[in-house]
Amino acid sequence: MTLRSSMLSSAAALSILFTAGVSAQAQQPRAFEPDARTALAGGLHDAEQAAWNLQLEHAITPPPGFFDPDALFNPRAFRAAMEAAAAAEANGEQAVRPAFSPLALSNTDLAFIGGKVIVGNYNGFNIYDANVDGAPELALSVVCPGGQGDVSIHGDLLFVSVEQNRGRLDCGTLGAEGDVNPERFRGIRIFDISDFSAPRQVAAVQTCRGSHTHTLLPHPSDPDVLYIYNSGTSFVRETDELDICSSGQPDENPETALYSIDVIKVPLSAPQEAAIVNRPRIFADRDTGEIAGLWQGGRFGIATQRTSQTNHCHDITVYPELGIAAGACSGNGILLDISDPENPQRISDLFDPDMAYWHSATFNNTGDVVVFTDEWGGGTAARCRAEDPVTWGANLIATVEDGALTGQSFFKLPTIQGDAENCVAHNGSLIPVPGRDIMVQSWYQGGITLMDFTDPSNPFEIAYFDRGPVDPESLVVAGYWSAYWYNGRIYGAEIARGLDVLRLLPSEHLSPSEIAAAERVIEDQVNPQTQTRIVWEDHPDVARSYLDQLARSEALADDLAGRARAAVDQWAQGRVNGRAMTRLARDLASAADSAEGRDQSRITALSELLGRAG
Amino acid sequence: MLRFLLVLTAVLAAGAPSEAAPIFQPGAPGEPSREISPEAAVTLSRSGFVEADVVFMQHMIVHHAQAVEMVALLETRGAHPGVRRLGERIASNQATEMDMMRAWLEERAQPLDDPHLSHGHHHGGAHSAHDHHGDHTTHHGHSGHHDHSGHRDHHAGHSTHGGAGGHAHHGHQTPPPVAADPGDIPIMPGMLSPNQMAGLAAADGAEFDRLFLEGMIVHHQGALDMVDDLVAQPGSAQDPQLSDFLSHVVSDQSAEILRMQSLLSEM
Repeated sequence: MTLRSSMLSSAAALSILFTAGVSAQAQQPRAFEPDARTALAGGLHDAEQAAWNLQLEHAITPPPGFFDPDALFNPRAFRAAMEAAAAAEANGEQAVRPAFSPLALSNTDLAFIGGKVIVGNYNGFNIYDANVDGAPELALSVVCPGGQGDVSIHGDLLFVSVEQNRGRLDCGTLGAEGDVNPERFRGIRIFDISDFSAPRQVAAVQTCRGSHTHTLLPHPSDPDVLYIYNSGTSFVRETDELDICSSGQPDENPETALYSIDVIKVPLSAPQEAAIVNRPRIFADRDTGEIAGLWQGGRFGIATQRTSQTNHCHDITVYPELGIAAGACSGNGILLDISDPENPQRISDLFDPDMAYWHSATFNNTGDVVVFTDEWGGGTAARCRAEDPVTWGANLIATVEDGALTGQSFFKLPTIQGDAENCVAHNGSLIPVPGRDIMVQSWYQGGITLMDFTDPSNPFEIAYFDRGPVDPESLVVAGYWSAYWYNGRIYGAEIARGLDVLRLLPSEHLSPSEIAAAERVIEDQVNPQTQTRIVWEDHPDVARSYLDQLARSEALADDLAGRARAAVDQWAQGRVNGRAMTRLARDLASAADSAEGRDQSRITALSELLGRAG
Repeated sequence: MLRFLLVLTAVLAAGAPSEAAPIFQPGAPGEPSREISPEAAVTLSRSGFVEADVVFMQHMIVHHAQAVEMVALLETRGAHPGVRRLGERIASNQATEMDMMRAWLEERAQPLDDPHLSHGHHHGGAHSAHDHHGDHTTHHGHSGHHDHSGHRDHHAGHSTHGGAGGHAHHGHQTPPPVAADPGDIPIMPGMLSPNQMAGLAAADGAEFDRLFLEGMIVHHQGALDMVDDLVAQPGSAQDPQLSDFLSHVVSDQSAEILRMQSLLSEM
């Protein structure tokens, strides 16, 4: 791969390829227009809202123990207390500095099991019973500080990422001071939550760079083995604290903890024995084996010397049924072959000058498109302002063909947000509408958006929900950390405001049948970074979804579409004419021959579905 | 009013219809959990900061200000539109981070400047991304026309000197080992020296672009070293906001270095 050929032909790439002579004006991307969510009134729990094709059903404020009314999201009170302490210190008095910090109780990532929603938090996690018709009810709270609280669930075992320096093995209160401290914990905690009246920490796997995010990967054949791909993004801890750890560049320290991910093996019958089994060099050059292989080397001075290339992944999404994973790895997006889970192999990599920081990845259902996000500014900055380029802090949509990634387009929240709203592309998951690729995604205080990327070259927005800033006068970090689909609803973890539940509303972009088909998909266990193939049961709503889509794209002749609708209506009433259905399926199959692209696969899927129904 | 609202919502949440769910604090692996009160849970979230955290923030503001200053030079002297665009992004990132760091210090009633950091090289307080249009060489004392090839060698030497693998990071009180000309001494390790800044300001076109990229790579590497230095201090980096910021510095600056290397190799 050369960097040049892999660059997306975006504004910045053009500016690199064509140096002089291209007018700077022509390279500027189009700007977004303000809309209904641009200037909403602020407030913590009383902010103004704007919604389009989405309805907020429930807003669950943080539970007791996860809200700090003295300080959190109240910078003025926080500062006043600090000033008082500083003044006392200046007078030589014994001063007690208030000890609290914004962000310390942030809600973060989500996982789902058995109708329960697990909400990660910098200070632990909360588990809610989610009833589709009622408000989620809190079932369990666990406090264990350390951030950032990325959570996953597998049966009775709950996994939590810990990266902050203050994390302690015993979930304790005293912090973990000093550069070497045996009580410090940075890595992955494993909890047994089989008994909600007695949750227990059963293991804590220490890692060199802590755990920013992690991804579960069940063993392909052994149900007793679960792997975890751990992504640590922070500094490397001292060797004296954890003897497998040392830092530095690979030419000087071949054992460096940089340039790798951790593969942790969890024996499910003995989770206390969970341990790191490999730290694969997934950035190595495939030909030379050089550890820092994603950078080919520059021709000038510094570029060939002490370099700090892509040396970690921020997040990895696995698709076990396809044996592949997409890694969002700092300066690159990569594709991994994970058919041997302990030894993932990089098969493709992508670089793009518009991508500041490759942050997360989501496959479409067929696994031939990947949505990579760019967390430009780290999620704590306002990056959706009028002056922020529309290709920065956005999604990069890439196709996968013969195992190779190719960038196709960018999608950014198509609106303007204020200076007091941290906003950038963040976590999301697929909405299971048959025949289309739709993703729900969180954008911090930019709100939640639904992106249709069925055509990877032309993504567009089909729904949104947004609130005004927590504090209109200053940027208080808040907003949606994650927004995922689970069993008919969208669950959003709001850093400051708690857990939100939203439902889809029909619109020109999403028909009642498409929504009904999506809501019928019920899964027991969902970890969004462990993707499983969505399978729709044979149902008239699925057939109508295809017909609605074919009507939108005008891809099916009116008479055939009419026959199909009538047949599906009969099917819905339990009156199936088998012979007519078989004939219809055959006619659709031949119509598919003359159709193209996604419409062809829709007509084929419809033909097969009606064939089975008949 | 704000305070009132906060208290009110807390009460509402506590008074949810179902009986309160228990809050557990687990023990170490294998140990039992214990039930704790909501007040104890909140107390567990709280953390303080130490002097080293404050000095880190004060120094990083000065460090970032130099990047903004370098980008300001880019506007009139750079040739390559790709470099210019990258520079805009760097300036915007560093300016945003400077705002965040100032806010962090202000919220904690801490001074924005480190009184021990001398020489009148304070750029941190007043600058923003948009107020750099003056002659920046005057800030540093002019060192006359600079030989560019020699300057490049100097950069390379600086980089080797800063090489990884267990070298001792220099605190700001420790001068570099051999430097006769005070103009060769950067105010902090990981920053360009006054002479290097002057050399950059005297360069033009493609030469400027290359010096800019090389210098900015050294500069970004300096931020990574500052993070390593901070976390080696007792009691540092316990504050979640600061801890998050450190992770962002490590990850963002690494990614930006990669982009700069790419540009450099395309030249």
